[in-house]
Amino acid sequence: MNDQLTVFAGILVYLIGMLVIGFVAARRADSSEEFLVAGRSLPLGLCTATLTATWVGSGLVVGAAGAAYEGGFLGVIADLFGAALYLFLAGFFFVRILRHMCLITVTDFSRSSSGWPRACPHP
Amino acid sequence: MPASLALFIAAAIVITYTAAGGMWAVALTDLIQVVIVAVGLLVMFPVVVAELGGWQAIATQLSETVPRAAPSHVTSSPLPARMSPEQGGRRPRPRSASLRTRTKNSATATSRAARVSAPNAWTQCYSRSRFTEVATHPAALNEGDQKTLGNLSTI
Repeated sequence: MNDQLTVFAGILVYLIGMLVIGFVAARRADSSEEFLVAGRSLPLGLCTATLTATWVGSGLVVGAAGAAYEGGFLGVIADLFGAALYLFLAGFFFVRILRHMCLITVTDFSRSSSGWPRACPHP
Repeated sequence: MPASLALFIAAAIVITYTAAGGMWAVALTDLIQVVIVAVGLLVMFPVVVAELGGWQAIATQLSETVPRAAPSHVTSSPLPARMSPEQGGRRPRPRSASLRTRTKNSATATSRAARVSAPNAWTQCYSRSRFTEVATHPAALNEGDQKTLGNLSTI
């Protein structure tokens, strides 16, 4: 019972901390570009942390470990190595173009049939 | 607490801070989360290995419980083994010194078999048909082939 209480308290502190960080960060988000793409000025460390936390989630820690247990290296060739390869391909071939197009959402891309959607303040 | 209620609470909190702070909130909370995950993995990995009794015990248990896993003494490649020619695989290229000598000496000899064989399957077809020719016409032996046969007999 005591262990359960400790775990519950830890989860509570974690969730409240997430909420506090979210509302502190909300003071920086004053425009739609700040809100959606962090003003295109996210530092390298924060960007790395975000991508890592997105990919190394519970699905990778538990799911990919189980797939590797069942199928070896070939069991995780899609969900682990393929995903990492996709990140490299996107970084090498697409990110520069998409940044120069100054998009915010996916809809901006489909709307920009003529190439450049609008004047880009940060090329 | 039912699991669905816990799910709803967690989802509500995540949606709240994401909607309030946008990308900055997501990036900052992700930073905390990746630190937690990294520290947790680094701490739990030696704990789990020690709990299971070390690498050797893990390998032994794996070879007993999972029939497809490799036995503990095999440090095998994850790729499948090369197929034999009977199974449709490619023949291994000749690598030993005597086989290299055979192809080099045979290349200098002009014979009927050299025109018959395909260029890309040269080393296999030429040497094989050269041997059938030698077997049927022993007078076709030149000195290079005699040396080759001497090399082959030592294999």
